[in-house]
Amino acid sequence: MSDHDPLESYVRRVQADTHRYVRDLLKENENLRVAVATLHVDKARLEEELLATRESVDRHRLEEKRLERRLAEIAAENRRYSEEYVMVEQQNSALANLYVAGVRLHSSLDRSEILAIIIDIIEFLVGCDQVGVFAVEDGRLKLVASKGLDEERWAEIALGDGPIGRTALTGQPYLPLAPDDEADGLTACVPVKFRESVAFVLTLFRLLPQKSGRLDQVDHDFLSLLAAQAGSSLAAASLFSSSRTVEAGAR
Amino acid sequence: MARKRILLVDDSETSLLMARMILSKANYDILVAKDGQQGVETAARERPDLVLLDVVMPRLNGFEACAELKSRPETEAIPVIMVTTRGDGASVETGFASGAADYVTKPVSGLELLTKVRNLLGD
Repeated sequence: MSDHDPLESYVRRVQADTHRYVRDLLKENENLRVAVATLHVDKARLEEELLATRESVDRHRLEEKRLERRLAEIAAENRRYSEEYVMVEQQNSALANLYVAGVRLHSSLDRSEILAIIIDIIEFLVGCDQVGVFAVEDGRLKLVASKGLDEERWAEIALGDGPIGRTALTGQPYLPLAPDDEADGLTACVPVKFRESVAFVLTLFRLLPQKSGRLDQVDHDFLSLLAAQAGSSLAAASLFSSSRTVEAGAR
Repeated sequence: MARKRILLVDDSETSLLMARMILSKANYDILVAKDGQQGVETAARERPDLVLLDVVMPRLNGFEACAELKSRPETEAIPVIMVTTRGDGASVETGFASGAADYVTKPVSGLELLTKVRNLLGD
């Protein structure tokens, strides 16, 4: 075949094209291999990252649950502290009531003033607007100080008669937990003793509306302590009065 | 800063002593008046930061004293808390109608009184 044989020339051109095509294909193939290898590496890296992210999410979920538990604990603790605070305030309030009652009761040596102070204390520190103080005199109970009571009706009571008379006779306080038909509107009855003998009876009838119609245990405790303080204060007033009488007689 | 001053107006020594005890915990200076008329005069003269006004009092009752305080230019801005034995709706309404900013009922709860005082004084 001569150099100018068109067939040969065509074959050579096709061969050359084929070589170039194969070379391009190989090159492209190599590029694709590199790309696939890169993608494999990326995939492996992403899988690692995904795993790490999942682990991180799991860790965060655990942390979230731990924080939720801690939050609930703190909320419970907060509630407990609030309840304790209210309780301490109630105790403070009870102590303040006792302090005020003590100061007021021992601020006078005059019996009628002390009786008025007792009424004042029961009205404002316990919350009762019908109050009476009965004295045991000549074997009967006589109303010696009151607020909001029908004084004629309650002027005298026989010892042992009704809750007031029984309190005077037995020395036991009358502190019903529920309204009592026999009590005639009476809410509480507390004896005031001199040397174990009942000398006075503190009586509480109608409570203020905000007391919800009944006395609490803290009121019962306060009334018992008030009666003890009132007893010593009235005894002091009695001694003072006697000493004044003796002093006047000696002159 | 000057301590805030609270005027207590009450004819009961027991109530006054109790209110003093409660408020002394919070470092307020306390002024005292024994009836409504004296309360109005003391408020006008001393210009306290707040007035605690009992309802049942001689000369001028708490509602009248509160209305009087609110009618005077020198005392109208002083907040008043009514301290009342009457916790019923009508009494509370009368208290607010006379110009009271708030009310507490007797027997006074220390926590409630201090909270209301602090709220009104912005403490």
